[in-house]
Amino acid sequence: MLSEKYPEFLAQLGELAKDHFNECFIDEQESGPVLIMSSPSPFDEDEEIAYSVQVEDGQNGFVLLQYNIILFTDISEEKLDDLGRAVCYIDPTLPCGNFILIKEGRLMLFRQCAIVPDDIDIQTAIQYSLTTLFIMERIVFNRGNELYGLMNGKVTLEQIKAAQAAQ
Amino acid sequence: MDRTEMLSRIGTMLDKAGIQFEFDDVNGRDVIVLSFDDDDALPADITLSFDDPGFECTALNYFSIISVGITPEIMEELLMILPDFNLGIRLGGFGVMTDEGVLYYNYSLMTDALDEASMFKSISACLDVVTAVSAEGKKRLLPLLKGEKTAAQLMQEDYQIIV
Repeated sequence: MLSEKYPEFLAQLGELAKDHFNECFIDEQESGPVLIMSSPSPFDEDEEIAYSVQVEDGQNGFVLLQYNIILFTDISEEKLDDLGRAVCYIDPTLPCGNFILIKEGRLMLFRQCAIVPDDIDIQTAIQYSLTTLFIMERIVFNRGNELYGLMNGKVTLEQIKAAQAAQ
Repeated sequence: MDRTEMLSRIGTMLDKAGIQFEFDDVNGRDVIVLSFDDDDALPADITLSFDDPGFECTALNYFSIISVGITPEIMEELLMILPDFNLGIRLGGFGVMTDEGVLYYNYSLMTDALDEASMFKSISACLDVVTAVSAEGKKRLLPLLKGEKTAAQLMQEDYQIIV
């Protein structure tokens, strides 16, 4: 059962993914182990983006796989409302996942989750997770640029809205 | 298994579960439409279709229109509240098509990296959650959609769905 073997699942996933990332480790959090990985930010060469994978024990024989990519931290207060609107404009155009703005923490992440059966084969769960992470990365690299531009005054909310309308 | 066959198998699964649905064609794309009674406690319907997010991977999209004909004033309120509202929802989220005046709920499950048995179990489990979340979201956003409360007022309350 994945709910019993998830430390092993995260360790194997980390081992396979480590060549792709700067850093890759398992963080023992209160809620359980979380696989954390980081890579250079595609938006700012001085920054990194962080990836996390965690497994939550669900009910009735299922578990929740949660994948996050933390894109921006320390977002300036005055940009939060505009970013919130931009997320609303961009999300309908995404093939999967959602940009999530945490106003209190002033950070933005991209999240995708899936419910899978607890009896899923671990290798299948690993392959599924790698596929999910690569697709999420591609979306973030393509669409996160607009959000980064908005944060830095290089793109306007109106431009983001117009781009959404054109899709 | 191609997409038509997968939809057919999903149809068989829904039949066995006693869920009412019909196959449809939306803009040349095969879809399954699950219909519910027009009730505030239920989504109007949920459409299942396959999308291609790239990397030779297929995603099953669960899409439900929550409300249409939303006025620009109410849309402004939704733009304020949705980023916060979606925080607690881990399967997908609520979104808007601003120019069309539409509020929707949407989730995409990547399917073909899963083995067949796991995939159909996941599709079914996600459908249960999607149905519950879209219905609960509709209920919780209704005061705003009806103009009875503003985003700021609703955000003072314990209004998020945590799933």
